[in-house]
Amino acid sequence: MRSVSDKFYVATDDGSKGRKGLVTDVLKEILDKMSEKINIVFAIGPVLMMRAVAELTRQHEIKTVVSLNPIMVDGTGMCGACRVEVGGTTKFACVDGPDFDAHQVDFDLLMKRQKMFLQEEERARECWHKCRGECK
Amino acid sequence: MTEKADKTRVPVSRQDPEERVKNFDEVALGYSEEQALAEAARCRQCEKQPCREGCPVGVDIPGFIKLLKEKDFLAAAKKIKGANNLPAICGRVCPQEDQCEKYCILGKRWEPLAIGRLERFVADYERRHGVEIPPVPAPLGRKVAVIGSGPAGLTAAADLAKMGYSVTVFEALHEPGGVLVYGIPEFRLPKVIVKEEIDYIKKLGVEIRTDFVVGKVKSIDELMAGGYDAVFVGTGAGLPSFMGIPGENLSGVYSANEFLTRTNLMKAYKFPECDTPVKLGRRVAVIGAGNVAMDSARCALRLGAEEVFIVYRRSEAEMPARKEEIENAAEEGVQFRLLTAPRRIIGNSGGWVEAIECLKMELGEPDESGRRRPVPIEGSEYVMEVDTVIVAIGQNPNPLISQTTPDLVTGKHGIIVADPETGETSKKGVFAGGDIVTGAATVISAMGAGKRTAVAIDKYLRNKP
Ligand SMILES: Cc1cc2nc3c(=O)[nH]c(=O)nc-3n(C[C@H](O)[C@H](O)[C@H](O)COP(=O)(O)OP(=O)(O)OC[C@H]3O[C@@H](n4cnc5c(N)ncnc54)[C@H](O)[C@@H]3O)c2cc1C
Ligand code: FES
Repeated sequence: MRSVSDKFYVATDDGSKGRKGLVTDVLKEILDKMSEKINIVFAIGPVLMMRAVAELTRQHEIKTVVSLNPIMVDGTGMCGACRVEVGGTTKFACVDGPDFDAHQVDFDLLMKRQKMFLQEEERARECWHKCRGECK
Repeated sequence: MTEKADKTRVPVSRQDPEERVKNFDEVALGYSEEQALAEAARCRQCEKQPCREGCPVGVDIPGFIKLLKEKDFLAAAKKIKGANNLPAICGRVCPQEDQCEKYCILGKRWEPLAIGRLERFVADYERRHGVEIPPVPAPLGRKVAVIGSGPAGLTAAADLAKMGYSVTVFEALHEPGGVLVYGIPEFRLPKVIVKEEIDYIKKLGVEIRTDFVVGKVKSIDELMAGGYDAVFVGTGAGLPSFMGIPGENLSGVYSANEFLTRTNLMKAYKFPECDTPVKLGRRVAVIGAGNVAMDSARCALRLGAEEVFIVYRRSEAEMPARKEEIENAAEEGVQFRLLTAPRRIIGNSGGWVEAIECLKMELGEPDESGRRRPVPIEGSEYVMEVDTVIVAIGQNPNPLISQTTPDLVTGKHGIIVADPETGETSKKGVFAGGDIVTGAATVISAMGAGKRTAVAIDKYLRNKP
């Protein structure tokens, strides 16, 4: 990343690299100073972060692209598990995306759908800790 | 032979409904040798052979039954395989009542010959006694790419390999078989059978490359530039339709494809030993009344749902599923809510399905499909409490290939336009067949298309310098 960047900023939750804080703290500073015009923002990562970035850039009217990570099954457009709503229409993130206009994405729905299998994920983790996949 | 034996078919044993809803084992157990011989004895070996007309791939039905009667079961299997590469599959899932058996002369007065069950018997016998691999001719030195490993692609690949072409099948999923592995449940078509049939095709020299989404990893043009002399597209109709009503993206709403893929391909009924779960509530509504809906409803029962409803906007007479599958579903305890159309799905604050609001319908005048159009009864809204909804109202072709192949002409609902006889498309050297051309149809019609197209590809390549 550094090698392809003119300016490169790092932020970590615990301050172990770069500055301690959120990505959006850094972004906010940059946008507030904004010596040059910023044309586009890309955000890739946890939904909460992408949503926070989208909210911030919306105020500044900067085009923003997010890469969505809903639960997927086949990843070929065959099942629709990866449904997201963008601009009020349903899209299959695996083939229609995964990159979408952040200001059109229904993040609330995405977060709810991501939680669909929380209990099962927990069970799978327990199972793994018990037998390390021996039961498969 | 007694008069009665002439009139009715030898019944096939099936797992008891109460037992079978607790497992994913095969429901119909198939004929024993004795039963098969008794049923075959009903065949008149009539001169006209009307049954053959009803078979989309023209299996020599009287021929194989004659050999069966003579107890030469392996020869009978070979006879079927002359026209049909996948008899153990077809004997299980073909809608014979609309095909060969529909034309059987016994059926004019009595029950038609149970051709499907006999096909299955012969194919299973061969499976147990060692499948013969036909000699593969010397390689012609020409390469064909087959996209999609459903029945259409597998059939085209096998036939082309037998002619001496080097065939590579590109499959998007991690396992070949198409709907046969991800859609049709284990209890109707054990996956070990599909695997054996695919092993047979591999032994013919066909290379199968899985996890390869054509249109994403490489386009058709790139494949052709990479040395493939011809391409067969058999990508099926795998794009699930949704109803377009409010609440369809709530958690707990699945497309039938998602639900069946989790259950069948990923074996969610073995979770957590298998990695992919499926989450079902106590009350499940399946929307639609085709085969896909019946499969979904019957899987839901086996996964432990307490009540499963088929919600369908027309009446019993219009249900598109095979009669046998509807009966199986009813026997197992699936409940039918007919003349009922969902209007919206209602969720709780966590975004989970809580209920569906339905509207009662009545039948009006026939529509374009010839079936009587369902008309809403005003003020008949009511709420049905359910915690899972499975949408099984149809599939359309997956648009990935057409989106990435601009010179491929498409038609209604995104099907690829191809000559029904030769599979030729608008793009030179590219052929197509199966559900991608016809829209959702049957295993055997997809195989028929694969066969005809293999012949056409051979002809094309012979004339190509
Ligand atoms: C649940 C269910 C039950 C059914 N039951 C019956 C039945 O009992 N009897 C019957 O006769 N028919 C039945 N059918 C219909 C039958 O399965 C289909 O008509 C048949 O499988 C179509 O074959 P196909 O080869 O055209 O496509 P498919 O079987 O759909 O196979 C297409 C393959 O292409 C792959 N693919 C798609 N796009 C790409 C790409 N871009 N790159 C690489 N690979 C790709 C897919 O992953 C898939 O494996 C059923 C269908 C369903 C869904
Ligand atoms: S993950 Fe199945 S359609 Fe996207």
